Amino acid sequence: MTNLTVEPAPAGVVRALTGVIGHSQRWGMVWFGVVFWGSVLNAIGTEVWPDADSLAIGAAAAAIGLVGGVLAKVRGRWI
Amino acid sequence: MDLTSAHDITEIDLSPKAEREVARQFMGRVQWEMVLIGTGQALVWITTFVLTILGTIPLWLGFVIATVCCCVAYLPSHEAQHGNLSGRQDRWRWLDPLVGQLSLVPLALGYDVARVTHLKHHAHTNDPDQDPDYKALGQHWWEVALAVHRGPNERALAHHMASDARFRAGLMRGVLVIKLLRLVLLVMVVLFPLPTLLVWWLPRAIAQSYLFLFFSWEPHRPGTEAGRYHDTRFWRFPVPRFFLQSMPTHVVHHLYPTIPHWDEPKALEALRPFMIERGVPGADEIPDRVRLNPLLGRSPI
Repeated sequence: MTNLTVEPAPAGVVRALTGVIGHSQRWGMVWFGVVFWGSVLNAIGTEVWPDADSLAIGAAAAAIGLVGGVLAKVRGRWI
Repeated sequence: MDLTSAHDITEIDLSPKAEREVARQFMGRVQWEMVLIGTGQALVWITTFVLTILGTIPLWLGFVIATVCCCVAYLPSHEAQHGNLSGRQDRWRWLDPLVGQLSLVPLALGYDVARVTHLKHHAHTNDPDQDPDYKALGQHWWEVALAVHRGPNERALAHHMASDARFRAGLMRGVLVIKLLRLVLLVMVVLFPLPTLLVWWLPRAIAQSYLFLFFSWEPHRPGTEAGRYHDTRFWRFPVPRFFLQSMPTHVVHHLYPTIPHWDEPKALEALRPFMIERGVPGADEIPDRVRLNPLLGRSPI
């Protein structure tokens, strides 16, 4: 069996990664709502209403995603 | 002596030592079938994603192919988690983490998270405080199908995080991979919203429900029994077992996790007398011939 010696990651890297993971644990649902559902709803909206103001559709999609994400964060789950 | 024959059950040595000897003859080979399925489905999924983005194939077709890929994505990694791709042979050990992680990409899962939590599931099957899969339990299939999307059994994770440094280290490594894959998902959805929804996110969600229903809930129903010979059952379903990736034979895996999944049907035939003797749930229903048998039916809970 091969013994691999792994150097410990620098403290700054560990701190940064821990911070990113911690942030995503706390705010991941909100970000997911805005970015994921916002993008999907925006794409669906522009398909359904091709002549509508794309900025309005994008803003509405992001708002719906944000509300969904905040609700999921408050409830602790999506469904 | 034919160990698969029910008529000889009283004439054969049913001691634990004899059982282990029978089981051992199925262990230790490189499971090339699972290596092929693991790498193959990941490559098909990536190709499908790219072709859907390019518009070469329609979204609906991409969705169907991706859903199939996601449904078969976990099992090769599961075999890797037990060292069953390499057969625990040193020269092939590298296959386990490599194929084990590659296969999980469509599910956006980290191999180390899957491995450490799955090994705890084996050690504490059906224990609500220590089995990370315990969340899969429920009275009705739709409860399970939804519950899987509500996250892991946090009580069990917290327990093992506090008491097992190797578990904690594995979990942290795997969480980094999960976060990276989720970041890729978010970047892709901004760039290609509908292909990402229909060829990644939705197939993954469907596969998660399918996997927990047939890989965790059904084999361990009713989920109240603990102990090596009682926590998992042999079961039948009104769908050919090939569509369930042979999970009705999963009981063999919980008795001997190092038997390759591909060989479970013939191992089940050979171990059947021992399982009946030990009172394994559903063992009386195991037919003499399991290989190529679709195992159609409906088992009582």
